[in-house]
Amino acid sequence: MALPALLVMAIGKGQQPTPVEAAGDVQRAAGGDLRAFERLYRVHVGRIHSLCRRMMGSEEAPELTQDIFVRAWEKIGTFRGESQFGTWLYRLGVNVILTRRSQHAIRRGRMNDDPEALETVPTRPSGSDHRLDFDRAIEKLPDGARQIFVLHDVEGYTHVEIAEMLEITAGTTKAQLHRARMILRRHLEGARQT
Amino acid sequence: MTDRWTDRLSEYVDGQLAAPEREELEAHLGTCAECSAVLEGLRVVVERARTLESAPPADDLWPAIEARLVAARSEMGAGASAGDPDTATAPPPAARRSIVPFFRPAFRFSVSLPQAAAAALLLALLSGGGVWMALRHASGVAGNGVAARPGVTGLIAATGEATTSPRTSPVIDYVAPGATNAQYAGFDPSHYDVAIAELERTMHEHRSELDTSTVRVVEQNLAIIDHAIDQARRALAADPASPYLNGHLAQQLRLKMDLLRRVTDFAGPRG
Amino acid sequence: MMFIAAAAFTLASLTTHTDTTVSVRPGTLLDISNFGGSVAVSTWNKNAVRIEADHSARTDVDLDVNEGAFKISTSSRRGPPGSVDFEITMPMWMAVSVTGPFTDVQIDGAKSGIRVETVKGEVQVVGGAGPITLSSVQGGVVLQKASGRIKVSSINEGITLDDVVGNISAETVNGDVTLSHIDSDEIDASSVSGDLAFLGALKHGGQYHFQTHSGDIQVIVPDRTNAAVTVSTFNGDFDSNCDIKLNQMKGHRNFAFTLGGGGSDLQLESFSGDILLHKGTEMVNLRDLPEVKTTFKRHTLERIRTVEREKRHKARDNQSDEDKSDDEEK
Repeated sequence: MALPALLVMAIGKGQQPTPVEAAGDVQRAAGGDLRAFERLYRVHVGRIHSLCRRMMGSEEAPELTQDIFVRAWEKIGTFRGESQFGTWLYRLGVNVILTRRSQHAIRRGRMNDDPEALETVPTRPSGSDHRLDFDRAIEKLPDGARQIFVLHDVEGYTHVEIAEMLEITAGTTKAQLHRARMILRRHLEGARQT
Repeated sequence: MTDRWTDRLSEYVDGQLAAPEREELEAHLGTCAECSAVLEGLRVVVERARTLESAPPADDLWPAIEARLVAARSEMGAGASAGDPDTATAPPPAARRSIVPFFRPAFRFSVSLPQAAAAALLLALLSGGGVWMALRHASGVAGNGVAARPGVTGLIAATGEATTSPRTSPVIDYVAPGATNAQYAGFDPSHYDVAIAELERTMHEHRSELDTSTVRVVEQNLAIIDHAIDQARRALAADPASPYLNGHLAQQLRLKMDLLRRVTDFAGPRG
Repeated sequence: MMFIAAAAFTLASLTTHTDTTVSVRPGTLLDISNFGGSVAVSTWNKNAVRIEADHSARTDVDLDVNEGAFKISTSSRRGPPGSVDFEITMPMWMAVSVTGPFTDVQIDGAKSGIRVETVKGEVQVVGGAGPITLSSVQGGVVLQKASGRIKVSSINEGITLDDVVGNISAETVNGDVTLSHIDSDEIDASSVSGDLAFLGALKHGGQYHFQTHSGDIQVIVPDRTNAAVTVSTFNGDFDSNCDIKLNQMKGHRNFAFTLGGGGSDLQLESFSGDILLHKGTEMVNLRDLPEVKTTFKRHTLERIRTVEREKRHKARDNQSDEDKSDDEEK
């Protein structure tokens, strides 16, 4: 991929250099420039895909990521530059994920506060996998606990916000968060022992 | 092993315990090695989560995304405006990877003439010859226009109310046959259910004729309305006499019907 | 400039830019139907319509001038018409209708009725007098400085009305409805999951109905407002800085009270969203009210129009840039 001359590489504190979007790429993408949009995609796909994967699982993540970027392309004309493009894109992504999540729940006929209802996938045994990957441990959490853990501990939302987004009570979010943390703690300590 | 403090440890880590409880827990931690160990474990988890890094997907998703964006453009006109470099006529970049396994079925990408035909039908409905009508004064509206809620705001608008301006340029409006508020005045959920089921059937029959992004948007919005209907129904089950809840459910059902009618109006010929 | 009494003709399809002007008699309606692309309508004082269009060679722009109506449409010899960007200048007195499933629409300066129907397009209108009906499915609707009987709807996106006089119906499923500086006797605004926000005065004898399912409702009215207010919600919250004496209470979520001497009807209904009713001593900028959540959109129509127009010019410029850089990359 040929990078335009204006592309600036920024080096964070001890992190990998991350490309920032070329000046004007958002405007160009809004004007229909697919190549500019592709550059934006390269910059932001990591964060968006990770969010999708952590929230909805590996199987749905690629398609959800696609949906988010397609929607971002459709909506980019409404981006007013009031925040960073990344922030705008991220919020759009969260909305898409939440809509998908509620569609799943509606189809399953379950949109209530029952903590048991949040558990749609039982915890899979870790088996003989000794190489701990924290991300993979997160993926193995039951759906409800995982989503709350991701939103709170990884993405930084408050319990009140999460309760609103997932349409449950803050009490449920706290209980599920604790549950997720306890399961992950056991994963981490299990790995340490081997 | 857990004791009564174990379940409060997360709240403690997040600084959400009130002072008296916090002090009690801290006192307990001084004497309980188990809880201290769990607490430390939780702190590690929180710290790991906070510093989790993002990683791009294993397969490059851009080809699939680009294909969808290009297809969406093509659907608009079965071909490009002159000089548009971003259509299928442009040579693909050299380093294009193979298609990711999560492609949707082909209908999402093909430019289908039925879609265009459906849209053309829409235009015919909206602007077909002889549809210009002179203003009708308050013909389709309840006499006490003030209390009447606007009914169907479908693609064929149901108005007929007098313009407020004294100049009489004829109004540009259509009157949909039979679409007045009177239909929705009485609340009888069984009528709604039957009508809705019929419209849903029609929509599914003609689904493939619609623009795919429109289908998606319509389905998402139907899901939103369905969710509202579901919640309203459950609330009503606990309080069946509530006038507010009865009216609210009726309103959501009406919205669903309106949306389905809008979709079926432009999805294909009415059966 | 051509004067046509009654004729139908097709403009030259060899070029990609069309520019023609046609005289029209006062009272003629303008009916534009564009399959996809954009339609931007502005006005002037002449009794003529100027049509500028950018389109591919295989798409024709068809004009049909009859006694009552001047119809502009697009066609193609094979398949559906391609995308066309129209810039049309019409007389201020002309009533206009624009339809098209994939068309963005902007209308500026009209002084008569307006009708817009689209599926995927964004709708932005400044001006208009008389019946105004704007609707989109996937796009948002913005209306400013208009008067008359107004009906706006979107399914998936939001509706913004600013500086509008007349009766209003605004309906959306997934978007927010923002009404500011409204002078009306009758407002019916609803959304299912979006928020409603209203900033304006309640007139004597007026009827104002705001309802959502899960969206929040914020109503900001002047200090000396007279209204009979009913609030209904299933599990939303109600908050107000008004001095409230309850008239009736049906359960703690359905109640009525009177502001001032009553005289207008204000109904606020949200199933699970929150309802805020705030009295201000004057119409202040909403951003100055700390407790008001920032659901009010900040865009102004001017800004949107400028951005959209720049978009089109940039797209045209980028085409030639792309062609050049593609050549360089090879």
